[in-house]
Amino acid sequence: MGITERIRVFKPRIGRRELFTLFLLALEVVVFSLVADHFLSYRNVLNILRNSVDLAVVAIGMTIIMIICGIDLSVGSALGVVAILVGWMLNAGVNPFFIAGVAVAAGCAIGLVNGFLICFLRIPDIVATIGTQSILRAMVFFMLGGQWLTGLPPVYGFLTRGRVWGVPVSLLVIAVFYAAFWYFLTRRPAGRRIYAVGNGLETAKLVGISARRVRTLSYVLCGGLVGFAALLYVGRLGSVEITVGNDLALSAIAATVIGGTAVTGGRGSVVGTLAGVFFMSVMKNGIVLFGIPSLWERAAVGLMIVVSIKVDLMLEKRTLRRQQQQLSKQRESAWAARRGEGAAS
Amino acid sequence: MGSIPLLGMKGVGKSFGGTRALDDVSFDVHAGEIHSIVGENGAGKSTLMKMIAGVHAPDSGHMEMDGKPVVFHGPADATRAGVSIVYQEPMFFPKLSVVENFYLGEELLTPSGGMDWRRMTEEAAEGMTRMGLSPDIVSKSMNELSIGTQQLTLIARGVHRNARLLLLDEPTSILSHVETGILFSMVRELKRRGVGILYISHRIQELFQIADAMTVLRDGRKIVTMPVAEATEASLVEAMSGRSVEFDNYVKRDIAGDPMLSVKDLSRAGYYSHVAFTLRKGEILGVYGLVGAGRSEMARAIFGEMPADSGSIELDGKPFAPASVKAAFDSGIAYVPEDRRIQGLFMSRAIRDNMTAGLLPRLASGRGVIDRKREREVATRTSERLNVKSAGIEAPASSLSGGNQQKVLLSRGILHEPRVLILDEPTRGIDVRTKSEVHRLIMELAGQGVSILLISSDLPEVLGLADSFVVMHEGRMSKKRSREEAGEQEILRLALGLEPEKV
Repeated sequence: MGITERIRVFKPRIGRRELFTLFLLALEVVVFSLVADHFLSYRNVLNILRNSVDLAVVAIGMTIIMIICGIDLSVGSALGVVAILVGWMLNAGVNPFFIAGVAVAAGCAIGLVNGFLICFLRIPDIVATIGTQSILRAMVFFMLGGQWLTGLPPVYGFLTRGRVWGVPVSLLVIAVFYAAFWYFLTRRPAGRRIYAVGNGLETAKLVGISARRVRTLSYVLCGGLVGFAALLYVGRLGSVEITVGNDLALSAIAATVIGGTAVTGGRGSVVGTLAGVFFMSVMKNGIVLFGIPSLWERAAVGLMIVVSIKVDLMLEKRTLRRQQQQLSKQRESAWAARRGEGAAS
Repeated sequence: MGSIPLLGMKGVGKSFGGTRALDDVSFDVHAGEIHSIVGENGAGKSTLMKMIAGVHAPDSGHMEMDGKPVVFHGPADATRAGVSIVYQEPMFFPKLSVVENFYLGEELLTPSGGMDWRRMTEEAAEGMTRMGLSPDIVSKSMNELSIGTQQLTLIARGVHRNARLLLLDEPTSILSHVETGILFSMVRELKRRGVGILYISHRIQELFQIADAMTVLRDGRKIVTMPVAEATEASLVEAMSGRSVEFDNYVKRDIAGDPMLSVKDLSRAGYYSHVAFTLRKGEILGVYGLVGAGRSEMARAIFGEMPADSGSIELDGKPFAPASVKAAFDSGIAYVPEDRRIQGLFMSRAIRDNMTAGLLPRLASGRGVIDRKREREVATRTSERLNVKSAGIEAPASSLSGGNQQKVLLSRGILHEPRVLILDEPTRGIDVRTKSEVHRLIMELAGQGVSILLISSDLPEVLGLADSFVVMHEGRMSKKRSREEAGEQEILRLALGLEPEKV
């Protein structure tokens, strides 16, 4: 067919918004490396990578949830509960592959509960996941019984500290997950339907997409990713503290919105989110490096969430206003044309 | 046409709550026929379209395609059967590309089950070319396109899906003149290819240009189906009119004195232009027009919500330019909005709260604390006066029927003791008995000297209640006619933008 010789085949591609976050990240890296000498040292870069790997995996889940115009505040406590399960099984000497399967399944189950509450019982997503967050946090306290799980067998240490042909495994894990979900979200029909639902529930229903199923499965997917992230967490720290995952939801949301996922749903990509994750990790690293009290970290994350959401909303509003003006102008001219025609005939 | 019709509607009916939206409607659409559906707002056209598109299932009667009964369990079933619909309100995914808007829900896949972007791009581009649009725009996201292009894109999508039956619901209402031309040549091309087309439009002149047959609906019932060759503007208007009008609620009053509200040369680009009328004390002025004629927008200017670009308003002889809703409210203008659920009620709050929401400063004591006892008294009294059927004034608004919700909303407007009360579609979607109660209430208020602007697309309602009428069509307002002067058919003609009948 001749037509695709003249026009470019459409595919979801990395867009301007993602490039903008990458630019911000580059700017941040340049500034930090100018201020602190050892910021770009191999050791420090590796450190940043290793410390962002579980956040990076959870942020994929958060991106999917925010594309369907939802939110999941329970990811931190969910990761905590799964991490404790993993720790128990490690101590009991269970097969590590079996443990991994249980972790992902447990995460999916938690996601299914969230999806059920939100899509079937119609509880608003924020309220539902604050509820599950609180319940799961209580479970963390209960399961730990006031004592940390420490000195766990370093079975999963390989995932964050290991190397394959000289390449850090943490980098490989991130690369594999992001490539897989980039493919899923941009090349598979199920992935594009997630965007469709985020763009408009009613429209999605009218073209025969089951919005409820897509939304529920999105929560399950997010839960499964959180389950896997729990393995990474245990591997990275070798222990589970009582504060496990405390700031995870906040950080994942921040990485997602900085990466350009619209809070109004329907737009976003994992590439942007990855840039957002590194932006956050570099910032946290910088705060430590510059000796700034770590109390400021949360404030900075909060500020970044608010600023990036406001910027996105402003951009969307501008588009909307432009369209309304155009609509009224067009209607005016159409009316005028018909009146003119009516008079002529 | 002795052949088996493509689509046969066999006595279909559909109710929503207490209202019968469609009742025993039958007609056929043949392959290669352009069949138009005509009727006022609320005649049941959109319900009919949605039924054929598989969104609503008929609760009586059935549909046939190619002479065989069909049941659609959802839009996907209808699509599979070759039915394609373009909605009046553009329905699309704004942040996704044109290609995705074409195919999401029924994607073209590669052998491995991935999205076949190449084929989808090619075919979407072809569809765009056929609509006279540039194929380059298929990669753009929908919200980058102009409104008319969006609509043409959606029509291209509808046509594209190997549709055998295409439903177009008011497709030209947001199209420019040129775009309408493109649409018409497209529709004629489809007709040649044997596609059946169901076409809804308020633009009667358009229908005479393009349709083969017309079916007139009124109050959810089919009045007549006629070939366009036998139809005239007059016969069409006659079929659309003739709804039974309840005159019992009307009370003859003496309306004299100075104008309470006087509007001169009011314009807002794209919504209404050069609107002028006067409303006297105690008068009910009916503002009739089809949806989108600019009635509500004009009312919102008077209520301070969406200011006009130019023109002037006088209230009780004094210039009046409300800067905000509160300013209009304080000057004695109350507005009862058209959408109860979104614009009107606090659904989860008690009836009492809903009634007194605008009244709290007056119910407060000197120290600014709300006098609960007085609030309850007011709510109870009003509830009794309006005969609100509920489990008591503490019941949430969401527990009420649509008609009783409307009464609660009305009572909020009334409790404010306005000088001018603007009612926007006060009885849409409520049952006949409650409707009659609301009508008596409106009449009672007018009798007490409240000036009422009654915006309605329910012609019998306007005819039955109003002392005088204006009609809006495409942003223009007709001159005021008294109750005695105005005839039903003349009002319909004005609303449809037809030339007045020459006598």
